[in-house]
Amino acid sequence: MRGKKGDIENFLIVLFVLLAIGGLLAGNAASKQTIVNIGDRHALMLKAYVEAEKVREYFDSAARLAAISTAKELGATGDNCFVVAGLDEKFKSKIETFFNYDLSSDPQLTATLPYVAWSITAGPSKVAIIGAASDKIIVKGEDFEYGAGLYVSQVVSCADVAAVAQAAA
Amino acid sequence: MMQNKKSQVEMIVGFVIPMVLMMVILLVVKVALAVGFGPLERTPVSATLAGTGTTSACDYWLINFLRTKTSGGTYFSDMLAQAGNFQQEERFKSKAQDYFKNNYRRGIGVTNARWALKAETAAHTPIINIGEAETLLKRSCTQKIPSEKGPITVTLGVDY
Repeated sequence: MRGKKGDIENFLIVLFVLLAIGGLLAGNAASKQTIVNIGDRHALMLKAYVEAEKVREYFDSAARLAAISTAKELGATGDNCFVVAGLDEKFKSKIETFFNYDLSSDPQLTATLPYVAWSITAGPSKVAIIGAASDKIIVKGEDFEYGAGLYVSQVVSCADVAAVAQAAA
Repeated sequence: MMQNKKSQVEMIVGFVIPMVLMMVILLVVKVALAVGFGPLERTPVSATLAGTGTTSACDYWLINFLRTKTSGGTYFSDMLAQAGNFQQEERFKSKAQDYFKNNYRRGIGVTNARWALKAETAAHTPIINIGEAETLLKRSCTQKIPSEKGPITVTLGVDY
């Protein structure tokens, strides 16, 4: 009788310990799941930052390319390649054509471009291009958005124009 | 006295055996989780860290490559934007291969690093395809560059 009672007591103790450990394991798994979700969101926010950097790089390249193409189309060559009439107007209309596209490279993110006021200051052998954005580049994820400032500053020389012309020859 | 001792032994055996069994079961569960058979393997952890196929390092290398000036004084991105004939393509390939050999492989100190670079128009028309087969490479990243005919998408694939 005593032995049976002891067995039941022991069984209950072991059952209690098992349940407690089971509970601890389940709790541990649940907390790891939470960390997973936070990590997911952080990864996406880091991607949003990289996405904005890519857009900035696109703006820099576009400013440079627009200046080079403008000089080329206006027939400007040599050391004073930027001393041509209509440079300012042509540059501004050309650069706008580079932004009529979706620049997002990650399907989970959408990049919205701000309006940029462009100015080009020409010296005889080089131009300084400034692009002042009216707002930030907005990169949107599923439930967050990231705003990145934009200011474009590029200098393009006649040597750059000649190098591109030579590479394209 | 004898009866008392017997019952004590029974009690100890009745308690110790289930405890030992329980410890063995726990050990098996822990080992299974550690080697990746557990339910955690199917959580978004693996999807986030290994499944996206992109790395910040890849983006960094690609942007740095595009904004590098070649020995001819032209940026790689400008060369791609003007790409259009075979001669240009060959010149670009040669310079890009030199760049990756000198900056990428040597820079990270891994001799068996592999890379592939391809560029295509918005309509997916191939412009250039160099390096090793992209399908074999684990990670890739893209950058759009402007051109007169619309943005060009440049993709770098890396493996190391």
